[in-house]
Amino acid sequence: MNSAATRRLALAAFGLASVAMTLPALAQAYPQRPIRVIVPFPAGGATDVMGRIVTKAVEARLGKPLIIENKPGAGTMTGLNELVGARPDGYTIGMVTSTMVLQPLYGGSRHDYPNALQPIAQITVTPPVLVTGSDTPWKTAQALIDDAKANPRKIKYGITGFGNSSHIGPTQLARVAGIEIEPVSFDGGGTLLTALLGGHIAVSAGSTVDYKPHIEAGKLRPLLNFGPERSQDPLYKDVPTAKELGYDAEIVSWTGVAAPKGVSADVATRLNEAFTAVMADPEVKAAIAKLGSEPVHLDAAGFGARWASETTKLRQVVTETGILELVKSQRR
Amino acid sequence: MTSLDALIQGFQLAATPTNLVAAGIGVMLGTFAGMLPGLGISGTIALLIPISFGLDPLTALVIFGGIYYGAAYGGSTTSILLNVPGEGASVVTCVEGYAMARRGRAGAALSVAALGSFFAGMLGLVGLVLFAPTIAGWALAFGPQEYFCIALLALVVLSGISGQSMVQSGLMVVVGIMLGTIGIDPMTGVERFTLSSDVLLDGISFIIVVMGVYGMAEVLQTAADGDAAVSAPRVAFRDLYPTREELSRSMPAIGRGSLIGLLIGLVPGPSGTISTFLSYAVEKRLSRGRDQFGSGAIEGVAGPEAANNGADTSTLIPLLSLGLPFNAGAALLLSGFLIHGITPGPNLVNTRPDLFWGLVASLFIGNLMLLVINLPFVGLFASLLRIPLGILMPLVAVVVMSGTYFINNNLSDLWLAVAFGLVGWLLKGTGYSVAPLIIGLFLGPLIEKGFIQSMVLADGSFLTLMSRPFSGLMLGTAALFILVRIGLGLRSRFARAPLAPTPPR
Repeated sequence: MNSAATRRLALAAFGLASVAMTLPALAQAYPQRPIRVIVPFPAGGATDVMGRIVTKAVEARLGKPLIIENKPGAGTMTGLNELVGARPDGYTIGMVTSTMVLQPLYGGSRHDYPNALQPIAQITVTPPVLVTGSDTPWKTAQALIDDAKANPRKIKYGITGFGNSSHIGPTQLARVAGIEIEPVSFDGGGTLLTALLGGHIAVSAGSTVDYKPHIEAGKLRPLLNFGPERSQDPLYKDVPTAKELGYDAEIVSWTGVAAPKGVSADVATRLNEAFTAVMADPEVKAAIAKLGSEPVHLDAAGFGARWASETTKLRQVVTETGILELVKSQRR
Repeated sequence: MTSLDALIQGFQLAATPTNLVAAGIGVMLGTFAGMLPGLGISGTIALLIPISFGLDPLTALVIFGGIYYGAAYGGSTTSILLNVPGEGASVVTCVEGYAMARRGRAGAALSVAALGSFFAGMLGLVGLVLFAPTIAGWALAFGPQEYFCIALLALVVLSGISGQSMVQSGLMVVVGIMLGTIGIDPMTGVERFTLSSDVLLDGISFIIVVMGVYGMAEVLQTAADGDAAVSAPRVAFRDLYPTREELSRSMPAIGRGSLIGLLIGLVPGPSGTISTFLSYAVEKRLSRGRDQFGSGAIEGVAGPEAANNGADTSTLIPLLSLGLPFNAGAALLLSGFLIHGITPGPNLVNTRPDLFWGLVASLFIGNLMLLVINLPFVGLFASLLRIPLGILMPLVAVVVMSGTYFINNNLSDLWLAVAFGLVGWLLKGTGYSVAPLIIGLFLGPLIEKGFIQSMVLADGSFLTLMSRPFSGLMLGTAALFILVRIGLGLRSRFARAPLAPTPPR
């Protein structure tokens, strides 16, 4: 064997060895480069700010920057579609909200999001709370229901979109209580809140985050909590749930993080660990609570189970309440 | 404690070295963000929110407030110099401002825009200090009915904005309204006219169309003109600033624009943009230079720029005293507040008077800083136009493209901007102007939403629009406006008839 061939062999061996050495190293060393985080809302919204708080903390643990990209539009579907279409290599993840379960039920989305995405972590849960202006005659939910029974179709409630949680909660309530109330659609929580405070709309079931300062200031009165149990927040702890009053109505909104389906097990584990650690960090929790949201972490498996169970449950709810039919009839 | 005492204490807090530096940083960042189309204050504040954690709350608020203010100043710069409006509120500034720049009066347009912004901002802040709680109550009186009627009145008044024939501008308004129906139906969530395409799913964004029909169309026009294209005339340094005559013409426009902005800013929604449109329409009819509109009338810059800043300032009133953000910029300020555990609203002034008055005082300081920073730079910015068109226009194309991308981080938006650039270019010289089109596109969705909401609330009764005092007044004004226009049209036709006999065959 001449020296040139030896050199080539040695080089090849060196090359092979280095490949062999880097392979496991690569898998361990995720992330190698910055991670893109798609937020399906404009910069500055509650979900965006929450995403910025959490990703900033995750960044410190993963050692690579997490870069937020706002892809607002089409009721989060623009951002979700982009997330579904991204390469499942762990370098694109995104914020998701409970509408990702609802949209496929109505048949209006390009993808079946719970099956096209992979869960990473749930970050917050917010039950919609039914509120009314402080100068309306309804002191309790029961008074409102009695009035609605006596005057069908008189009471109008504001929603932030047909078929979302602000619509489902009151529709469930109306069905089980045997009353007729009518939805008026607004294009966002802010405009709805303005109409509510101005007395242009009687009631609405929206986010505790939006209502908090106005309840504290005595401008709004909470009547009913649509969550499974009463809130821990002192401001809402005296507000009864619909179930307590004997009405079978329950809906919650949540926010979390997901990836396109097909992320390798190693990467998924690494992300799951990072988000779990961050969600246990008291500073992160405090920052989320300051925004008025309740930090409730679920790990990847738990979050995935929620997607599946809510898909089944909500399909039944929107069918029974006639919301599915309503949304579909409008599509025709 | 009176408001004045409280404000003086606020000044003591805002004038600490740290907070002065913070205000300076804020207004500089804001000016910069306002100048880069598409980036705007949303991106800037959102980027700073996590970084601001370690700061003292007042210092953080001072920075956010500075950005909010600075962006409103900076927005006019690219409109005047490059014909690229970075936000809805600087669209009309393009029309007269860019025409002035092509005549070599860019410096005057920039100076007057800064002066108008300063004056309107200061007036708005005084209003905030003296009347905030009272005025905030009025803002809540605007319901869907009022909103529908204001948008309708704006459409009626503005349809004639371009001074072409009623048929031509009416047609363009209708096309604009039709384009505005593309996307997801705001009421029911149904997809309309999207051709199952992701590009159209979220509708055709007003600001992207505007970047296309103004900025991109100008680039195409210059390219098509080739050697015939003319650069802006070179001007001596002392001619950069407004002449005495230009200043005296601008003053009444600034006054009227400020008032329009301050009032419209209290209406929930994109009031900044509406107020600039209205101010432009008012100046076009009332100002001394109304004959020059279209070829660079300084009132058409001064009025709308004052209106824009007036609206931005009065939008702070419902934000600070009710906790209600009426536009995207205010919403971002609200996030900035919340992240520091501060909840704007009726209680803020009592629970944290230091923050409330400190912020208000810093806005006064920031406003003054902006004027001081902006005026010396006028010369520098205006001299950008000395760059040969062969280099300047490709730069404009870059600004349009990057700005369009920044808005939604969406590549397909760039194709829309190019397509509308072609539309804008092809329409040049046909007698069909793009102004009514973008007005239809902007107001159409607002009118639709307000109408449907009003109808659901009133169980389908049209009476609700007339029986409420403010909406009734708006509707009446709109009807009167139409009647007067018809009357004037008929009169001129009859008056002309004998003078123009049918030509002999």
